[in-house]
Amino acid sequence: METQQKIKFYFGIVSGILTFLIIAGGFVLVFIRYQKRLLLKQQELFRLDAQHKQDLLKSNIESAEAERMRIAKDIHDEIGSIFSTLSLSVNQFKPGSTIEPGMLQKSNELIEMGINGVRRIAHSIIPFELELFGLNHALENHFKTIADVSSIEVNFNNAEGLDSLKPAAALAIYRIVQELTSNCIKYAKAKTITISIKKENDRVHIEYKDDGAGVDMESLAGRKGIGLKNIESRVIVLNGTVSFTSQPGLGFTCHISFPEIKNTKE
Amino acid sequence: MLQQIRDAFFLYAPWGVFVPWLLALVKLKDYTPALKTIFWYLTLAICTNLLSFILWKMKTNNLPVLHVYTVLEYLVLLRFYYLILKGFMPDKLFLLLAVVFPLFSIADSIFIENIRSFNTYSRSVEALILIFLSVSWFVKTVSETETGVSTNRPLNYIAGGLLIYFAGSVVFFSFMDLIEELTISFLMNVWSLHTLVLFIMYIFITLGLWKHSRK
Repeated sequence: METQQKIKFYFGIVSGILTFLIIAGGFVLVFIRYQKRLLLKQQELFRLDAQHKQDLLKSNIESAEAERMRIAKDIHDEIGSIFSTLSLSVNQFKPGSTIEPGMLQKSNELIEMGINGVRRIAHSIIPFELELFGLNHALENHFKTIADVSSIEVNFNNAEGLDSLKPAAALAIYRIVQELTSNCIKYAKAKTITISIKKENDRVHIEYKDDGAGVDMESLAGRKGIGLKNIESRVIVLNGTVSFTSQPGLGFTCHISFPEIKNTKE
Repeated sequence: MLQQIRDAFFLYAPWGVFVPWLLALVKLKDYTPALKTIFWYLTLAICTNLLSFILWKMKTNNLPVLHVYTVLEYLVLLRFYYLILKGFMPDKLFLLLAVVFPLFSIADSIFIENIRSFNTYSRSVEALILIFLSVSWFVKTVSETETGVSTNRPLNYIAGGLLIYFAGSVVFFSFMDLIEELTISFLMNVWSLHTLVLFIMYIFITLGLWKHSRK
């Protein structure tokens, strides 16, 4: 090789090595950076997911505690006071005591009140008609109660075959609807509630809509109330998805969808 | 001065292999089979360096060592890629690569190139195969990341180091015979550049092993 050729060859080799080195090195460094960023993003998502689950668990515990307190209060205030009054009445039947006229009738009335109170409290814990007559009947009964105690009109479009759902799924739907309507009564001042439950492609879809005051969902992000978190927990247990849409003055909409799980006992 | 730095770097940088090797030796029992293979690769590099050094000191041609080293290095690294690419690339391909290249390399050493000269063809083909396998690892990692599987960062460094070394050296390997004809100063520059690429690979392997031990 001549000197001139050697110099050219030398530069060719050096630039060839450097070119490949820069390309490979650049590729590896860019890749590692990209992976690092992706990993950080994944970690952030896992953290948010864990936080969300923790929030749901907390709200579940809180709502269970609130439910226990409500039941204890109902029993104490209602049944407890009936029994106290009944005890006073029964004392009058002791030998030698003067029995006021109509005391037996009054005692009977108190016993009747006690029985009704126990039935009402038990019903609020477990909706018996759900097991006895199925989901459709239980929901219709629930909407009838709403119509009786408020001026809200409820439009309910139910699907065929809802009663064939697994009891756990039926109870979840019942509780979700109860939660949504109870929120509406408490906060929304709505005139109409429309609920439709339909089955499509082996999935159950629940559409809830009211024309109440609505809420700014963006300002609600991250600080949902126990009620909405309870709904989310129930939907997660059913392997489903839930979305809430609302704007101030434009009512509240909720869409829930989950795979249909039929009652295999039947 | 620069020349002295270059010569010192050329002479001592290959011994940088001891850093990842010692790190691997300490943590060897915790390693996956793939990382253990990297330990054996580093061990092979140390043994080859020592043997070449002794032969050089004895003023004996040490290039036959390179011919043997090429086949052994290839088989060890092929096992590494087989372990990390399992399920992504067919086993039969690895079997084929494990048989064909060593046969080619042996034939090259016996019939094509002199065993006392550089095995240009074998080194170049080996580099191309290993570049292909390294890139396959990155393709596999990207597809796994997209499907939500967690990333394996230590292996990214090791596969990245190997890719940098073989991609950076492929030109060097391909023109080894002609490089020998350069003047001594140019020759030392090119060899030092190769040593630099080798050194970068050891840094990446060290980083990979270090990140694995911190996991």
